[in-house]
Amino acid sequence: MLNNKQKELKYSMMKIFPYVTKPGRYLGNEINSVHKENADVKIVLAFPDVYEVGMSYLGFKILYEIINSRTDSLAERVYAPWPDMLEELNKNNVPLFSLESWRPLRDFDIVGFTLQSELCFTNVVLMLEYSGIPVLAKDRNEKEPLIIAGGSCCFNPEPLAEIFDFFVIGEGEEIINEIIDVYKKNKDKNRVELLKSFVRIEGIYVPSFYDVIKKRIVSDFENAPASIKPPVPYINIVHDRFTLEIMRGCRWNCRFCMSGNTCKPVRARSINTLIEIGKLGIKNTGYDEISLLSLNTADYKNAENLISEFTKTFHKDNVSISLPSLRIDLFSKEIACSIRKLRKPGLTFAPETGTDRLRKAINKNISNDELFNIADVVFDSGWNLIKLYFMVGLPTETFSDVEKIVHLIKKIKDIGKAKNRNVQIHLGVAAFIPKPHTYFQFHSMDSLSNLKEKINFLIKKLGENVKWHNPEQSFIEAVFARGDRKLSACLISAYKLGCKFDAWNEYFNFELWQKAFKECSIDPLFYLRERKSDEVLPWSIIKLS
Amino acid sequence: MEHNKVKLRVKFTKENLLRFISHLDLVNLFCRAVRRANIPIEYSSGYNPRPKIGFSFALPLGMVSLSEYADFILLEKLDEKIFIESLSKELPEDMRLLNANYVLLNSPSLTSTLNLAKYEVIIGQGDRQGDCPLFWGLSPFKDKLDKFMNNPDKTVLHRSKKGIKKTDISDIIKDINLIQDEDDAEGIADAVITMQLKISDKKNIRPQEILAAILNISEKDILRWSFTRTELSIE
Repeated sequence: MLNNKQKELKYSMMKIFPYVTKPGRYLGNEINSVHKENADVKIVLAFPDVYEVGMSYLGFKILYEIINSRTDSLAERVYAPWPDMLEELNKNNVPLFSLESWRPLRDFDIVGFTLQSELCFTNVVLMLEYSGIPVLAKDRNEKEPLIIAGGSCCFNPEPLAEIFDFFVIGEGEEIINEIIDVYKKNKDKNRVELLKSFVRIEGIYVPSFYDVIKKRIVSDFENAPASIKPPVPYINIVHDRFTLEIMRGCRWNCRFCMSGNTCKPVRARSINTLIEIGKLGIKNTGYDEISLLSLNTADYKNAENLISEFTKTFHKDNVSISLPSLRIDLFSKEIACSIRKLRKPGLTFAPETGTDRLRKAINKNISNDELFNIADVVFDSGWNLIKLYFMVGLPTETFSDVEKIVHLIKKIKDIGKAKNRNVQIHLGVAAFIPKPHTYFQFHSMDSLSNLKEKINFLIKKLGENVKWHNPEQSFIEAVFARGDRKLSACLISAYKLGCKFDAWNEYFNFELWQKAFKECSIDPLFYLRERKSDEVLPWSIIKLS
Repeated sequence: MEHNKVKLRVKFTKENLLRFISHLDLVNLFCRAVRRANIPIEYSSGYNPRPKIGFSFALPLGMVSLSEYADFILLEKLDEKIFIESLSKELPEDMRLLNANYVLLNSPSLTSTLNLAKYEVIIGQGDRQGDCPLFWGLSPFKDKLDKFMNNPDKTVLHRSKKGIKKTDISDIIKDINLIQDEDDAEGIADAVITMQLKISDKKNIRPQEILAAILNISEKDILRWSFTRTELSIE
């Protein structure tokens, strides 16, 4: 039941909806959305990108269900309104509101952001501004909600340290309960005392109280709460299917990979548990596709068994199974056999480089010959489409390594031709970013001009089947991934100059960013340079083990 | 098992907030609801099997409807009331299932039978005088409507994918009227325009466009008004 204020907002918004694209983004009231009138602790989960992207994020689905399952707390959701809606909100003086209850963000106890990409940082500022909540932590008082963050970018929280009251480092399933308990006990204290009470929780980094933080993990992953009743969107979203995690962590030590390091140790759920979660999820959502998530599917012990059990259980009800990540060197005829039932149009692999030498340098130990063998198996098994991911700008890379990517593609195409098949090879290319907590964290990032040259070369040689990330966007990602506290002010400047939705090509504006850096007297290249081995890195306050 | 298949024709509404989801969203909504309710429905064959549900012509986004229809191909005959009860449990509250009736399996599709639509457009609802730039009093509207209906030449400018072109809608527009309520306590009357339009897959012009053209109002302004499809029937 909505109160008068909420009803008023709802009716004003209904007059605005005809004037914006995809009003379905703002309706809420999805199947499985939870509407509670009140609770001791009111949390709004804020995703700093548009609804279609945010609704796919599994972490929020899990937290939403955990928080709402407690009688003393409630969780609602808010996503970044698309710019046409932002204009309307501005014009009509309407603050950002949650989907479940049309409640302004200011009226919640805690606003929890997830930081999945540095390119969403300006949207964090945007959402706080549109909520009338002071952006800098020091400007907030007892009347304002706690503004907190979790997610993979928190492994270097420093660039946002002046904005967030605290960060959650690592996995959230257990810590969220501790946060709610501590908040309940201390909510009547003043701001400083309230924040101090969170310092005791392992995995929480409160920037105003400097300390070394150890990441949190869920040790009993088998029994950790999975999302089984997520809100089902009315409109199309990215990854529109029921998602469940089969495994966390990765045993390979690829030198460029941050996820592999931050998500250790490897933990897997048993097939029986996974089937149960799948059954509940399908029953509660009505989805016709299940996605099995992990960093590397083939690493799952008995992967063939997993796939066959799932196809056996779900295919008869016309529910298909999708497996996003597969590591090349574990791909075999057996896996190909079991995957064939999955109705995939093509398979995706990540060779990352064109040469064996460079691949060895990044510790992804698979040779081109092995890759060709796999292409052979893939084509023999009936697939005509292979998607390959590469990076440019890797440490020790020469232009010749990049040229060899073209040779690689040609060779794979030839393998297909020899079988009289018209095979399609699609490429994804991105700039290498030396990320925190990786072997390469001290390394510098390749220059923007080099990166542009290499990507343009590949586009010229390989044509329209190349999807590439704008290296200027990667540049900004890298600055913030490797940055320090001075960047908070810079982020706010960038927003004030007009930066927002930086992950979207139509809104990303590199000139505005350069203006912001200049205004703040910051040289972004300072963050992309090589670091000395005895240098204190901004992210060294976070310990992985 | 083939001979057990049946076709159930269901009438439903799309109201309130749900007017802002598209026809394709509606199709997905029903597919998932049918799965959650465990309705024994037939699936299409091929690469991507989907529950066999047929619909009538798409309702334009932003419009409420009190009279929509969908045909469900069921694998066995269920009691109509039980069908409505179990499926309603899985539908959002802004959608009501009004009735369900079995029709012959080979009866013509909804798009080939339902070809007449009645609309109600409420003018000035919630937009009292100061608010609504279009509310200059009803006589200018009434005049424009009468003038249009009396004119044998009924062409309007229609924006399609191919661009803007003049379209003759004399075969589409069956009736259009302005009904004025009695003045309420504040001395302001609500007015309702009713329209009866033929619909087909050949000439698909949205009622908002037609009304905007007749009254010489921009489509942007006409979006302020509440459009409801009150009936879908056979002419």
